[in-house]
Amino acid sequence: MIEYSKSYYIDIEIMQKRNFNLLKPLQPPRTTWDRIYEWLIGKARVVILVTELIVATTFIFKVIVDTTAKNKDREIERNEKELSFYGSELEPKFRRLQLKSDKYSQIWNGASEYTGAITEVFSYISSESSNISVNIVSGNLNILGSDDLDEVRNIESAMKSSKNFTNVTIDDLTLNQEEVKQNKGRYILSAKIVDIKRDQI
Amino acid sequence: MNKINWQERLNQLLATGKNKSYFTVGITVLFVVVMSIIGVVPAVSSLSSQAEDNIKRDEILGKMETKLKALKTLALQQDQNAELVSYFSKIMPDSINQKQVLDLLNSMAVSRNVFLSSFTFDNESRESVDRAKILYGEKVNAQLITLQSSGSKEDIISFLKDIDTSAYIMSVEDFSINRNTTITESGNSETIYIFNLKVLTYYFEP
Repeated sequence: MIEYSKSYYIDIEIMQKRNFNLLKPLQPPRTTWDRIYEWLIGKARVVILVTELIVATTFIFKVIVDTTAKNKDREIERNEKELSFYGSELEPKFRRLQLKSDKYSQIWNGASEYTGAITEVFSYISSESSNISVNIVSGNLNILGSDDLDEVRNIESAMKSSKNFTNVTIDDLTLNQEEVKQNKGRYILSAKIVDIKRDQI
Repeated sequence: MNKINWQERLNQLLATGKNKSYFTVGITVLFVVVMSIIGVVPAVSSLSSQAEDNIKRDEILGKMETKLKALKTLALQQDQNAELVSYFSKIMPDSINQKQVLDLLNSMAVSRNVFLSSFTFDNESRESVDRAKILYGEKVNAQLITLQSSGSKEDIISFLKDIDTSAYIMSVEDFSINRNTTITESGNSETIYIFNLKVLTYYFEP
């Protein structure tokens, strides 16, 4: 049996530990696409993530806004149905009533009231015996009568001093011979009534 | 050939650290710009447009709700004041009701002890009627009524006051009060007041 030296065994041991692999895989030179890929999974990842987050957030907001819009559309539709019920039947009725009420107020406020004027005129005519005619046309008053001349003067002065009449004049005074003796005459007294409006509503 | 040149140029560009940084920045900016153009800007634009539409929807809803509330309130008030509404349609009718006017004037005359001797619906005199239309609009129609009555002075004035204050509007156009004093066979004087009156009544065309 051949005896080997101790150093021989040590060399064998070292050779066994050293793994000589002649087919060691060599990294191929990095191509453009490798570099882009590295960049994509490296620095660009943050940018992509942020962008994706923005897109995702926008999408979520879009969903929320769309849902809100849909709900509002539904509510509008429901209100439209309710309004068409009220609108077709009640609204024209209310509008008409409103217009009618406005017209009523206008007519009332535009109408005249003569009770006060006529009461005042008759309060100045003290004689109850003679024929007399009191006419009112469009706020103009005419008294046609036959009376004592003093009485006529009294009526005229009373009406002139009243704040309810203006333009008080005796337009015509006719006396025949008999009437001259009796100090009587036929007269036409005219005046304008100051305020013929009713109390407004 | 062009493709190879492009790849070579790209390799050259990525060869040094400085160029690589420029490339990285450039591509990142390009990515952000492209994403903004094709993704974010349209999405934001769509969102803002939808948000604007929603604001308009809110406005429409607000108006609708206000109108609905007003109509419901009016409907409720109409129900609560049904009697008043009915009364109003009597004093401002939709057509001239000659019988109603005659009954009203007659009841006023009777209550004031005034004798209503004649009563005419004057359809020929258009002046006052046309004036009413000009004053109050096309929907308002007027009817001229001429009447003659007699009674004492106080009764006639009270009758006139009733007409002046009637809720069924009777607008006095003109009138005359004539006092006639006659001597009776027994030698006493008898005084009577004749009241001629023209009034306009109104109705509202449906």
